[in-house]
Amino acid sequence: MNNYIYTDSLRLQELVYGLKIKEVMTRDIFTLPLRAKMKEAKQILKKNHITGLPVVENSRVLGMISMNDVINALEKGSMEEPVTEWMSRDVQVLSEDMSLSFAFSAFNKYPYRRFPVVDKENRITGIITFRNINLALINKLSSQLNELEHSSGENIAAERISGFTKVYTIRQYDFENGGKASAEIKKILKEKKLPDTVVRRAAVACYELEINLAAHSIGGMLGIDINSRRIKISSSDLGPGIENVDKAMEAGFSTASEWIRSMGFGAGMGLPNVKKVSDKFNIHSESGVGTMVRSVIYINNQ
Amino acid sequence: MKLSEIIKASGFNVFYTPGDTENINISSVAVTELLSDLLMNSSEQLLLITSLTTEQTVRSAGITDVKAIIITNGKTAGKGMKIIAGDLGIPLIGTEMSNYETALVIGRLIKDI
Repeated sequence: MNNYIYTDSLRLQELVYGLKIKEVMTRDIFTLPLRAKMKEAKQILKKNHITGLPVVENSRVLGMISMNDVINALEKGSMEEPVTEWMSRDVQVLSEDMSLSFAFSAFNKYPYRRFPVVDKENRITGIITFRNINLALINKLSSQLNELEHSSGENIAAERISGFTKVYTIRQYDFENGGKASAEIKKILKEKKLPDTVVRRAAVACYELEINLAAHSIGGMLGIDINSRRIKISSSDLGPGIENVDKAMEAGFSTASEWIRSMGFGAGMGLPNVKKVSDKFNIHSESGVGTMVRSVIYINNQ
Repeated sequence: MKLSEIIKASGFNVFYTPGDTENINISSVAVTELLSDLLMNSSEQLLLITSLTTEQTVRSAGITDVKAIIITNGKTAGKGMKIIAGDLGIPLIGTEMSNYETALVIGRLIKDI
């Protein structure tokens, strides 16, 4: 237990530079024609639970309509007006062949929550959001971890009959919902009739990581991957990153605000607690880029 | 010791209970204002004494299988706390006493068994 690894093979930067935007982006996207009205934009956003739409002519992106634009138009009773009256014309697009690191830079540089992606002929081919990046990094890291396990001979008899994988989006400062994902995961683990100590350790790791995402990151993803041999919990965010990981692993060290402390958190025990309940633990963080944490708990290792 | 006996002997206020407190046994007590401390407590049949009144207090209690929460210093449980407690089946109890006084009272009760 408590095998604390800073593993070179899991370096965040390598993952970021190794992926292209087109490997990560959403390809099935909704767009608006120039002649569309604001009420149509509203319908598409609402029906598909999305927050932004590119306005397109001949596959070229001419503008973006956001949920804010729709709310503003709604307040002014302008839903019959064309989207061209309300769209942002200063649209930043990303090329699909760019490294994912360009998307990181774009999200840091611009206030946008999504970027249209274009091909070499400047035709729209997709959209990229934080969620795309987080999901891709979790998947990539998960497969790397599987390779590591396989190479160490640990995965030979692993059955996936009772397997379960899920990724949860955790929003910054969302303490109203903070802990819901962990509660659901705990319930799933109990339903699988895993040993109580395993369920408890996994639930604690999930909860501490979930609260860390809400309290310390700009939002991120919490992933759970279960097979018959182990529970793997992953957390991934896109910032702000930890300046000094060694310090963050010290019991009692915390950068939490008074507000977060007033809720009973910020004792500087979050990451040390995750490490304590894990059989394998690794963390990698880059200041200004993001943080990834992996916790593995073996099911028959009690 | 049964939770119902603790409530009866101490005169605590019951803010929420999922049902019969007769069937809830308490064998250990944690007094804390830090949820990370609670998360590391692996005692069974645990009673939590705290003055924290956040929703996360109940969520943390759910993660660690806490059997009941006593909220001290005359604080009351808000709607959010009660909803989560309802989902998780964790009784919420209140007292005017401080954490220390509450722990003393319950400590004496358990000692007298």
